[in-house]
Amino acid sequence: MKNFINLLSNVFLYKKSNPTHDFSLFESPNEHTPTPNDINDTLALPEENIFPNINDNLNYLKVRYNSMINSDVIIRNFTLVANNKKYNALLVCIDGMVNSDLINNFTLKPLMQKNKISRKKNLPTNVKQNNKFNLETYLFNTLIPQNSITKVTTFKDLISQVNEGCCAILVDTISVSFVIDVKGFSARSISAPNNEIIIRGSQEAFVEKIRTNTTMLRRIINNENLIIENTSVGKITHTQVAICYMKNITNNDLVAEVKYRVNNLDIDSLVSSGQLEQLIQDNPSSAFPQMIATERPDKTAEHILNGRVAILVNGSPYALIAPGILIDYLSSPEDINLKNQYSNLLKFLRILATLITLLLPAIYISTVTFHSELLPTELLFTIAASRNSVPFPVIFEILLMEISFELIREAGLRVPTPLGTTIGIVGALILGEAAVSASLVSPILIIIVAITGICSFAIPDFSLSFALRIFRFVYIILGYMLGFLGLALGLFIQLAILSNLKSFGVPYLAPYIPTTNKSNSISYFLKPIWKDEYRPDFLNTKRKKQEPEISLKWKYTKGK
Amino acid sequence: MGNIEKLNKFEAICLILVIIINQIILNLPNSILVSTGSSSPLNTIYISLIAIIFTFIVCKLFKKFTDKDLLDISHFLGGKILKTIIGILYIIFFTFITSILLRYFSETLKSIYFKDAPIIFILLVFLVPPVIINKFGLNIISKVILFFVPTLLISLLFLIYTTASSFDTSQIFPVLGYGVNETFFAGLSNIFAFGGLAYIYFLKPLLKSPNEFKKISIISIAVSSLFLFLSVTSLLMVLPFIVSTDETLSIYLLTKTVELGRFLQRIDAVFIFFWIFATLCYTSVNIFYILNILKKTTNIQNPQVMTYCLSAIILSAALLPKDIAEVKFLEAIIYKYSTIILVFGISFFILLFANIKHKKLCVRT
Repeated sequence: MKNFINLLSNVFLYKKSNPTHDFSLFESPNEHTPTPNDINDTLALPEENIFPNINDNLNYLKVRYNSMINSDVIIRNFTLVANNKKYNALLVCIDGMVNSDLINNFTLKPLMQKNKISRKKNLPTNVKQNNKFNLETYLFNTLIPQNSITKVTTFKDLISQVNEGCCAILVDTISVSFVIDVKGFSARSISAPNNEIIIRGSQEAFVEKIRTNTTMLRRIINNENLIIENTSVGKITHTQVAICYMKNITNNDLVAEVKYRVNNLDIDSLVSSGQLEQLIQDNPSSAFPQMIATERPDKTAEHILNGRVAILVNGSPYALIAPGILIDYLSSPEDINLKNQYSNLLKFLRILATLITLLLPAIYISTVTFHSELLPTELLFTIAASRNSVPFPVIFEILLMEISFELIREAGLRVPTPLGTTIGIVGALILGEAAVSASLVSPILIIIVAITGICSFAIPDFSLSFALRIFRFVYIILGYMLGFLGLALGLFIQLAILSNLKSFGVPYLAPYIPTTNKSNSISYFLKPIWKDEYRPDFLNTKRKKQEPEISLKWKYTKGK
Repeated sequence: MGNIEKLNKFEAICLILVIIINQIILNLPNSILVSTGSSSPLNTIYISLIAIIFTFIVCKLFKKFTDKDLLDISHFLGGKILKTIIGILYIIFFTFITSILLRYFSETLKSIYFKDAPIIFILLVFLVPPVIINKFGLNIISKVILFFVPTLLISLLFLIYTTASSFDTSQIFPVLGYGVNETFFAGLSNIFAFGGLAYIYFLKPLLKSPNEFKKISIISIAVSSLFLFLSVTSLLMVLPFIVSTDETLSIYLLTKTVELGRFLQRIDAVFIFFWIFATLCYTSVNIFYILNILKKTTNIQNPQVMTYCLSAIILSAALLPKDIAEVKFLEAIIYKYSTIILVFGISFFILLFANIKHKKLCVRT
């Protein structure tokens, strides 16, 4: 009875609510609408010049860096002696981004030591000695023993470089700052590729540090014509982006187009190459990838040497390669390391895998629903018998299994590695077996879904595999609704769309649609390496040939 | 690889071939068989020769008009009025043949696979891809056709090859069929099979190199002749011509006789799958041609915006016939004679008179 009264009172009687912490980002009573000036203040640094007065500079930097609340910003005041005069100076850097030993031993130490050098007595005489003492020149030439040092005159440049891991020195009376490259942040060391594993060939993968990545490319290409141009993207992040190409091979228009796209991005931040890919590809609405993403320096170098442009983003262990056409996504970095007979067999299997991944479930559903006469009688009876106990229509069965498969795959990727394998096995074996036992799906469908899944793993490119997975569902629905008519409809439209698609000016289905110059064009299947004389003609490279007609000079010499 | 809306040699040949292939897939061999009986192979050779000679003459007549199509020539001959009349006639002709073909093929599919589906649904399905591809322009249409035509030709050759075991050579006798008159005089009307010539009249300005116009025209008509002959002959030798008056696609009947061992006994659906591509290509080409003629006749800047309207008109026209019997009548009589009158009559005479006018002008100057 008491409980009942409590219940009634809880439901009907008024109760004063306890004050709770309620946070809402959008409905704050003191909501401040940012003005354009505020936005500019936060995002873009003004082009203000460095002041000659050290105190002004100090105050400015304290404000800009919010030094009262920013724990990792170091602003070190010190005094240096030059020409028997004391000058106040400051050093600004970000803790963790710099190498402290370099700063202590090779920057602060020479500057802070009591400088007893008398210009007249001790300084060796130069050929053209300037009699007038210039502090800026004196510091630059004498007191800062560093190889990578630049002079900047604006706070924008200073802050930008300090943010990247340099340290800046400001000295009273001069309106120039010395920015010294003392980067020393810890980074992942070079390791084996995780996603593009090959048996023969290099076992190095890109890392997050852009300079390490460019070094890896330079080590492979080993030629002065390799150009690595730096730019930055993002108004807040100023992410370093490197555009790499061969000056004497790559088409100038292609390089210009890549640079144009990268330099014309009005965005706040860029944190990965995946974002950049989406920002600069030709047709963002297309599900098909239009730039090659690879973690392998050897694959990147190979493409650069073929006349393509690679783009590296600081903080991302993937290079983007432009342009990317369909056949690139069906090629593996392993291919060039194997004899062409082996590679071509694998390439053929990949085409088969692509077709199966895309169409097998749709063909199955079309055949079962509309074109059962295609099947041999015995097989038809087997399928009919296996579906006898299943109460659902075939579309439900196939969607159930396909979605389950995708879920298993996604779950396997997201959980820690040892568990991932377990989830795969549990999902594939137990769930499939249980679904058949419970008459939710027919056994033949398990085979279809399993073959489709296996084939999707044979596609070397992750993005293409994704696109095919999406379109597989479209074909399943088309096949269920219209049978082969639906498949033909889908394929026709897809071919039309792919024929219309371009990646950095190159048709996506090149060199087949449109057919390019057959005498010197590449094809999906590889020629023997000694016969691979030409670079891809759809890239319109400066150097068309990559090897002479007779490359095996040891074999075919004039004398023989 | 620029985005210039022009065709190369192979693309142009495939564009003409896809028209003939569609007519072969539909009841063209059947029409020839019905009218000429066992002399149909002889009749096919006969009309093919005439078509090739006719094409040769047409190419000669086009020679003086570099980079010009029939509409430009009509304008030269009879001013804007004649150009508009010819433009309208061809727009009606292409709209009519597209709708008839679509309706025929859709009715066939309906009778085989979609017995309960309304015909408008199947027709709509056939019109969506051509509308999309026409948005992309001629370059993409030609590329897609270039991809499918070899596949279609191979599928036809494969069909003929696999049915070869069922050939009964006695079916071609008597060689003259219903007689000399039916084979050579009345049978001359079967030249409508080469209705693809209508597309040649508008091809020249679409070519990358108009100098190859003659080569393209002759090759496409010759290849079409070859495939027409093979289809008619194999149909005659496998199925008696009485059977070929069946209501379904005549060549489809051939596919039912294909047996590949014990495993594949009925692969007709596979052929239908390929022929759907042929129909889609055909519709795409026709829509492009209509838009192109419309552009030239009316001087509209962007005919692509008319694609939806045009598709609606084709759909409506395809729905006009009450049943398949009416479609067959339209195909057998109206299409046949309109092709002969327009393609082999009016257009030819326009070319002829334009040449005479051109000659006179040259003499005067």
